[in-house]
Amino acid sequence: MNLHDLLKDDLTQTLITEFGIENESDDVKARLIAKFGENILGRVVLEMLNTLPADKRAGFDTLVGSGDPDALKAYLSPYIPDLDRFLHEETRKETDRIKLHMRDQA
Amino acid sequence: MVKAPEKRRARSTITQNTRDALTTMKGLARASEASGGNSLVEQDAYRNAVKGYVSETPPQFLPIEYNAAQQKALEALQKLDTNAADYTKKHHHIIRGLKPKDRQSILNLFEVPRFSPHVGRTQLDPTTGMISVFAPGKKEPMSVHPIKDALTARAAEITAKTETPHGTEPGQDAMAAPTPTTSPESTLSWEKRLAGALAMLPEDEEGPPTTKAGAALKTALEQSGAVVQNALDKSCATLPRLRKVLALYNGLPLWAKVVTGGILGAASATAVTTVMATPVTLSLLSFAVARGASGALGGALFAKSASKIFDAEYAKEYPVFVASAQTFAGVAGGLLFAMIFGNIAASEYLHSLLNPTHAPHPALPPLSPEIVQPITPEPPPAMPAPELVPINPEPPLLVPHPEPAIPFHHIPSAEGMTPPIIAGDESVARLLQHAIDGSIHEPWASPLNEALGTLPHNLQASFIEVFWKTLDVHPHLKEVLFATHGAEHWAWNAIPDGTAAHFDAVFSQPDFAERFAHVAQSSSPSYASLVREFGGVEGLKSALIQLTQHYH
Repeated sequence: MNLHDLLKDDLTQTLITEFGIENESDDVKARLIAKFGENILGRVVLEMLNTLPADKRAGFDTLVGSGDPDALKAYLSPYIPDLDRFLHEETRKETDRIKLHMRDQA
Repeated sequence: MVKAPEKRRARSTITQNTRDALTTMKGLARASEASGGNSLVEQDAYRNAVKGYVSETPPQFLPIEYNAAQQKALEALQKLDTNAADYTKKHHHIIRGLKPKDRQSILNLFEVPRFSPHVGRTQLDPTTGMISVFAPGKKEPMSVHPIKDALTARAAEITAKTETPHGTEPGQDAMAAPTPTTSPESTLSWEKRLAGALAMLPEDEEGPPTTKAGAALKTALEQSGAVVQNALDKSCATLPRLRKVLALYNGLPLWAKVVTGGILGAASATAVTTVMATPVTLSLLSFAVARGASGALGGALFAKSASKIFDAEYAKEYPVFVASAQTFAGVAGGLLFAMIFGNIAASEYLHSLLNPTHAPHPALPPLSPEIVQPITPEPPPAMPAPELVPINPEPPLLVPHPEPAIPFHHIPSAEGMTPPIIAGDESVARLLQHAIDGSIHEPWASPLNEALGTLPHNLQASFIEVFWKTLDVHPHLKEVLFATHGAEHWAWNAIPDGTAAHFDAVFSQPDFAERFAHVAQSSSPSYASLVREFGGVEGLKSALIQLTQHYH
């Protein structure tokens, strides 16, 4: 796998620039971005669970592996009416948290 | 807000000092004993570890200062005290990918091979991973063991000695015990703690950030990630499927994580949100994740114009991805979706692997040579036709399969009796053959598990999905899963969702293999195509059984 080519992708470059890690090696960039994605995904899942009532989580878990995306979305809709917006908002918030942590390091 | 940097500095100061580190280990031992809730296994392990360092460790093994890997291992061990889920999630990584130097560090730290009072000292060859065991005062080793063998033997010995009073029979698999969610400290054995510590070692010690921004981001990600992970561990404790999905992501190759991380990160910026939320991106992501095994394809895909990839032909050929992308029109949702349904995508990928006559889609970049031929072992040697063991269509459960006449890897192609796996597709055959060849050097490992381990994670998930479906349909077969493999296997036969399942033990039951094949065939068209490639249900069943016969 040529990480160098992968990191030249416009979207990835946006993230690299945003975090100011242009001068890092490709390997470091890749690992940081990979970790970033892991954090975002975890945060989104966590916030989904936090939004769902406790007695609805098991049902959500069942649908996760069911292979029925419509059912999954319908199940979430009473609690997360605008899923797209929810995902975007949580992603943005987690990114802001990370930037805040970065400032703490400075 | 907790001053995390201060905590980190404080912890770092402690662990950089050997004496204090030893004190920490002693403290762990005392805490373990004092708690009363920890098992004798753990207490024994702690005592041994501390004892070894204080009075028995040969000078050549006594570290003056802990190196970075050792510090991380110690910290990981400490984390495991309260974060047992990390073990479940990550311990399968110990099967492969550990560097010799990491093994050496862990051995030095925990004095693992000291499993007998008759042992004077032990010495690890980091190159071969073999441990030489010396009797007291002897220069010649009295025995030489693979590291995993020694670890496993020690674990089995401790388990047999100390867990019987608690209701566990000698040799019974510790993984069959309740999950750590109820009482992590009390169910984690010494071996599991070690495995967890091993698994949490960084994959690559080289290449730390060299810029201030890089270092700050790394620390920020670790801090934020720890918060999220701890919360997830609690929230997902009773949500196995969700845990599996998250574990699947963690198991993705680096390139795939970069792809998804880049997309997710860019999605947080308003300017690109609109672009990111398009079905094109999501289908691309789904496809990229599904292609995890191929590795380099991700970069090539992104080099291509998304519009070309998402053309009518692509939609026709990969309706699953298109449908998924259109259904989940959110970026993170698309990622989540791609992983949740990664099994379907992986099946499509497997299907393409099994159909070498399928020409690549013109919109997709050609596979590079290293992808097409990732493994190039010698072809199986020509041998006489094998005597295949006849399969009883209605065999009783829990009856061991007869001993095979010929190990799988020696089963040749023969006129009218071509082994299904070999017949399926050359690349798949090479993949499995490579895995089996590898298992020869790790005789305690399950060849089928090993073979699965070489497959892309999505493909493993696909396989496991059918596996669990089979068990759901036939719950009585779970007895086979947990009754036919002992403690000596658990560590080396974990599947990606953290479950230690000795697939060989299960699939060597003809009944299970047959049911698995039936479930696969009825699950979806993708699985059905897989079954067809193996010559139908009988073919897949025979292939699975033949593969497992090598173990026996």
